[in-house]
Amino acid sequence: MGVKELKIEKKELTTELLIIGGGIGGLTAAVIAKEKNPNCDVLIVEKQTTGYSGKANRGGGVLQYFDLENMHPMEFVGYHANAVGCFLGNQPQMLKYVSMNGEMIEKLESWGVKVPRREDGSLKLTPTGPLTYVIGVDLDLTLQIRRKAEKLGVKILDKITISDLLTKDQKAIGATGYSLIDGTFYTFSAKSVILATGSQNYRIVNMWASGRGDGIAAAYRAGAEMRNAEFGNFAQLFKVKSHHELVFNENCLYNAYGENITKNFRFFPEADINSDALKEWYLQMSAGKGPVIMKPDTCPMTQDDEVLFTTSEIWHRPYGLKFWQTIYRKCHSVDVDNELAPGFLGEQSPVKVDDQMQTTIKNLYAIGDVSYAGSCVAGAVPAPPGRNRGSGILNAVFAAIVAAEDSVAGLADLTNEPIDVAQVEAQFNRTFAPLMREEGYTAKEIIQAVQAVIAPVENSIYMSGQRIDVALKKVEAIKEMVKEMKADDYHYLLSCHEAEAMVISAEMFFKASKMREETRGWFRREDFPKSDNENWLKWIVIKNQDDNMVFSTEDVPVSQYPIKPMAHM
Amino acid sequence: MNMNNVIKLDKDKCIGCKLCYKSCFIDVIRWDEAQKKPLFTYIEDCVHCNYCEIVCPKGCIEVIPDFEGELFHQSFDRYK
Repeated sequence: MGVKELKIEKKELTTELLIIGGGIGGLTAAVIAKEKNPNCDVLIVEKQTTGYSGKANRGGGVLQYFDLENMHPMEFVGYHANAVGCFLGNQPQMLKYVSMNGEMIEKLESWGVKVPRREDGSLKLTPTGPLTYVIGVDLDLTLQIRRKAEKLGVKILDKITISDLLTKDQKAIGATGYSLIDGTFYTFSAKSVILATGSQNYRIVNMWASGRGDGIAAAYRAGAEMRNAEFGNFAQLFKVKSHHELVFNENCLYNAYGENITKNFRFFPEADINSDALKEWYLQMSAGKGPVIMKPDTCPMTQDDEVLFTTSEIWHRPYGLKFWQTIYRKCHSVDVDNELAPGFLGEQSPVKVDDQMQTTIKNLYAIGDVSYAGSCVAGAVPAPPGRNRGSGILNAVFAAIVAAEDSVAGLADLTNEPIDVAQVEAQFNRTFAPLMREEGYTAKEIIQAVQAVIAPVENSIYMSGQRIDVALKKVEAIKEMVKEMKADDYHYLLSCHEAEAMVISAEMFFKASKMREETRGWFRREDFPKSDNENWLKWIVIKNQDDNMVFSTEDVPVSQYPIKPMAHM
Repeated sequence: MNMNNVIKLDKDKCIGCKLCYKSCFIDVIRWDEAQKKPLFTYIEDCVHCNYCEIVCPKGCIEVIPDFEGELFHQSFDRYK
């Protein structure tokens, strides 16, 4: 195997607060930091273009809403703990999130984000489950926050990807990365670092293509602990022909015999999106009763789906309207029926953080989709949308506010630590290794191999110990391929790093899923179909120790929480 | 990742505003500084989010999705 020669320029930059990722979480953290301390030096480094990156601006344009004039935040915490989080959630943190709902919406509006209101100033609410609603938000929200951030003096570097974190004595002191355009290798020195790089989505479903887990992998390599990696298996139903996602559809699913299969698992009004529907799809298909189709005319909410997105009838969102109309028009051109299939999204978000969103590495914070499950805020459910549409943006905003406030408060007591040259050199060599190889596996080969293992419903949603063992053997084989990855340019180099992150994420997911011998919330084991409160009111924690993935458990402190399972009351 | 999406550009109408390049969230589009035009360098990675088409102020970009190439990797024959 030949070795290429690389001529890479190197640059060193210093800041006080380094924010990795310019999506909704990173931008919010930057603005909050500047609002709290206008003199602090804040730098966002984004691998694409800040304001356009991430997924907030390609979603449904909705914010979760709680009618706090007519309900107490604790009511939602109680409902959520029982029906969605299944007693695995951090209830005080969820209470804080719900309580800040109005404050967060007002803050976004003050930054120029457009939240459609009626002439009298009221918000138009659409119910999405017990005690929760969504309100509209236009899709240029991240562009508006970027403008606000720049006005406040936040510095932004686009098209630079961070590949590793720099640490000293278990403290974050910076990061290294490279330019996607010309390969320039950057060393960033920082007093405090906020990771806002999104979740792991494995590049299977188109709109979720930006969450590739590179931030998760960087944190893992740096020694940060992970938590709840098994709740990294979000999926939902899509139309087979256009792969267009369905919204509010779970009450109107039918098999080939015309039977409404929804009645097998949906007994009363509940939150949108349910892993029961995915399991039911698999059972119907396995029994030869497929294909599964939806009949939107049998469900009022589904009938409204298109009106919600392709007209201004419910909310006036002119920027997003063009986006949705274009997508719906192109999908309609191929949709000849309403046949459905699950698309795997993952939404793995396992970076473990405390209630200030600080990871187990001091001065390293993780916010938004990179740490949703790791924060335990919601419990037994993957990162948003999880089971509540509209919760993604506000969870990222919530985490960003908490992290930025804590981080900025500590800056005065911190200094920029000297960078360890040997650590930087080791990261440089690791980063560019795929470019040095003349031969090897492409990122595409590795990513497709991971996708084939993790995407099938029976492997990742409706699991069994035997099937997990088979999946893990395949992942172990793919791990060997990662050692021989090759890239021809900096774009494909990034793809290689993302592929490596996908393999790490898949290994975490399957190993943690094998440990959790029960069914709880979104998490389903065919061989352990019941929740086990005796043994599994626990969080699974993962740590990188000398390149070995080491697993342990932490007890969920349910006895200290207000809402308890029956046996614990 | 198996998609063969197509992005059409009407170069005569393009004013070189760079919005398509900026709006691409997965580095499909690069920028030709000399010509002041977009390059669809990594089209194989395009996920037809349509943003480049939507943000173009002159309407000179068209994304033509290849829906059939997109794989969900489910286990039943028709989804392979």
